[in-house]
Amino acid sequence: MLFARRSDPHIRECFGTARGETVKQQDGQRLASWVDEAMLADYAESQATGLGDLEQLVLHPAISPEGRAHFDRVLHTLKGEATTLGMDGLGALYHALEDFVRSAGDLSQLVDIVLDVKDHALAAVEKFVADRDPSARFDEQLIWIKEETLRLEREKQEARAKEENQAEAEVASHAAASHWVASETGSESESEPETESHPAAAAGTTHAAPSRDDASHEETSREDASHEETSREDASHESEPEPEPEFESEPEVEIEAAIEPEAESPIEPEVEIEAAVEPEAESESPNEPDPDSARSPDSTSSSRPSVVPAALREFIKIDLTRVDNLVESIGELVVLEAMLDRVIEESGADHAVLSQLAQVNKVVRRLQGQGMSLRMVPMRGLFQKMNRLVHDLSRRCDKDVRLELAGEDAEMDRSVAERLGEPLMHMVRNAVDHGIESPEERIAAGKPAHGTIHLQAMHEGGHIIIELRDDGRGLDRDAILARAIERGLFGKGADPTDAEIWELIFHPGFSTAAEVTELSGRGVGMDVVRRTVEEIRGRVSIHSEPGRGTTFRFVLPLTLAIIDGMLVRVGAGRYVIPTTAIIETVHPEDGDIRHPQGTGPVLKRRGSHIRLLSLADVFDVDPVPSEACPEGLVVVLDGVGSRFGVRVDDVVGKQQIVIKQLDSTVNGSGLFSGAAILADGRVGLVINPMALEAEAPRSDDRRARLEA
Amino acid sequence: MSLAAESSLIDNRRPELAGQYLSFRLGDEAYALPVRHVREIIEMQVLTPVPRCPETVRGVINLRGKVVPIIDPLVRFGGRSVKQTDSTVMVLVHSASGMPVGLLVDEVMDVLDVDGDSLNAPPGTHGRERGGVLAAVANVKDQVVFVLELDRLLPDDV
Repeated sequence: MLFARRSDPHIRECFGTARGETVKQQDGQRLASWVDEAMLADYAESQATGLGDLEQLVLHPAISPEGRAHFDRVLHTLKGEATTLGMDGLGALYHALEDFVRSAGDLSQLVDIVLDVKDHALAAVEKFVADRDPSARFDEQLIWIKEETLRLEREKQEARAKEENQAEAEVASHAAASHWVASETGSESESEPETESHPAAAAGTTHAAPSRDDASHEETSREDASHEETSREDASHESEPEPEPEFESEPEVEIEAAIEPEAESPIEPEVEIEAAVEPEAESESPNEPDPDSARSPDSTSSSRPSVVPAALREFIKIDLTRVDNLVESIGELVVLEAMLDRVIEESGADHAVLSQLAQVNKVVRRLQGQGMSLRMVPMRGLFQKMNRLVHDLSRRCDKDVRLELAGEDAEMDRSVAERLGEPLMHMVRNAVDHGIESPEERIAAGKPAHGTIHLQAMHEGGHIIIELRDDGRGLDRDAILARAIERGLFGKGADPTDAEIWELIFHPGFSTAAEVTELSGRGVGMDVVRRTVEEIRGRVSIHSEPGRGTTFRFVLPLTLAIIDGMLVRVGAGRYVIPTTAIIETVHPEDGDIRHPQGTGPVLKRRGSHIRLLSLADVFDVDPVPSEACPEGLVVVLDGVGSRFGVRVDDVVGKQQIVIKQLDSTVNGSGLFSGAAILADGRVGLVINPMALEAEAPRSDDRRARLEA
Repeated sequence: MSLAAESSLIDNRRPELAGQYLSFRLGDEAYALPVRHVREIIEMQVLTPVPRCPETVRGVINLRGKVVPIIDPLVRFGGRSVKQTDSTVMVLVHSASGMPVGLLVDEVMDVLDVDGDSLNAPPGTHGRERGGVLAAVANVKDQVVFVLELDRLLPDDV
């Protein structure tokens, strides 16, 4: 679909020219006639992606030269697209931003402006797609950006004047080259505003050549590149270009280190330059005004983590329903193949047929895996949203909070990732808001003034683990316990385990009370977090140490479509219970099951009593006890608020199942979260543990324990 | 009394319903559905009953990996359920939402070309008797065929 559209000459003109400036819109503020719905959608998505990239690049803690080049490229494309579709106001905004970027030392100086531009531009694009009016203007932003640009220019001019006093004119060219090298070494570029990753701009910032007197000095510096080449020998003393006092690292030392090899040619082991510095990039970058062409051949070979490489892979956009249809067809194929397997085996086919069938089986399995992988997305997108969130929140709360991300490449099902966004944001917000202390408090506690939030994803077995760790004050055990006793959740003098205490912050209503927020340091809506996680068949656990911080650990299924299930029999029917909800299976002995007055039956388990449900009662069918265990078995489930047991006639086995949606009319009771095709081709219903929990009047385990 | 009802007193014909119909037997009577609604006809399969679902839903089946609910029209009419015999089949139809739904029928009979003249609005008694799911009554080859209104036959949301 996309390709078909792109082959249209008009559209090729629009999107094919990434540097879209040359394409001029004829009729100014009106939407061109050849712009159709699909193009608008493409445009909106492309703008959103590009702006998102810009945001990540300025927020990313380690901005690399590739990142800088990528930034310029993305910005340029955004501008091209905007002007092509007639959004001249937006184009002008991007243009002003480009000017500003050239003047700015490094990307971290851009944070505020880029974030602001992103928000306004996105809103304007959305509005444009909705009402087709391209005339959005950004006067306020333009003025701000231009002021900032002028301010930077002024600073530079002052610095340049100072430089002229200090050093000979040629020296500067060397500084430009060495800056390039310094930023090549990577991590320090962030803490050194003057270390340039953009060679042209670098020349602009530090150049002191007398011939330069116009405003577009970066243009001039490009022309002068060859001159710089020849005159760089004696520049090693140019080691203190405009030190900026507010940055905590020591720019002099690092730049010196960076310059050494440049002046003496070979890379010296004792300086901070790593092997990752590519010699040919050094020698040609000062010559090369276009960072794209200078960097792109090398950018993937860099050993340093960077935001860019993922963008270098090729992608096509596919309508999600097509993927779903494909995956569904594969699912049908898998089921048919399994049934064919049975039929052929039972018919006693000869060896040749069976071996061919085994081959087919292998391919079908592979196809199934590949089909599933189509729906998988990396965690990156979700994690990067948190970057912005932490940035905004820490500013609002007046705290210095750093977000460390790890495992962004771990993949999970798109639908799981989508559901996870909200709870994760909530938790991150809580961590910044309540978990991390104020800088003063932190220093008083002997901790670094800046708090750190660590967000990590990793695969473990068939699950994805997401850990959110802060180094804040930790949960207040005593306050939570006091509150729990006050609310009657525990008896006076109870001595619950830590895990039981932390569990309480998920209790509905417990965390919503304002005073608890203050006491426990955890905010509103943790029960919603818990519920969402359970809905996607995951679990969340807490580990907290007073004064050292709190860790939330999510264990989530890789995909919503496939679950591990325990197959149980109730009457004549077989049902699937997701194993994530199962704690254990118990063979009840005489006297284990009691019928106390006033509540339903309870099961005695390790000294306490848990509520017991009979699935036969819930489903309104007659139990058919098996010979092996006439008493039936009890499957202990972990519910939202309590543990409870369900009585089944038998446990048939375990099976990995593909969950199928169950029609809402059929499943009006909500007892089932779906259906599955079992090994014999029949349908098994998948039990929703949360609905079961809500089935009978709650006589939860705590009360039962108190009574016992 | 509405205009539509008034005019139906004068003219009971429903020529707009003319077309091809699949006819099938339910109990002792013949019923029909427009062919365009019919997706396929499959043999009787083992049904998985769904606890605590509406009575009209006899259960769900596995249709090549899809889970399809099966409706018992006789229960929907307010009577006893379809008895399974050798001739019992499932007529799969497209529901309004696009999901396939199966109807349990005693026997599939024929594909009929029904012209407008032979289609009449159901007499009031019939409409009520069958839970209000009749669209028309057709006289084809001297046989009375009850034309079903699919949307009303299926439970809501299916």
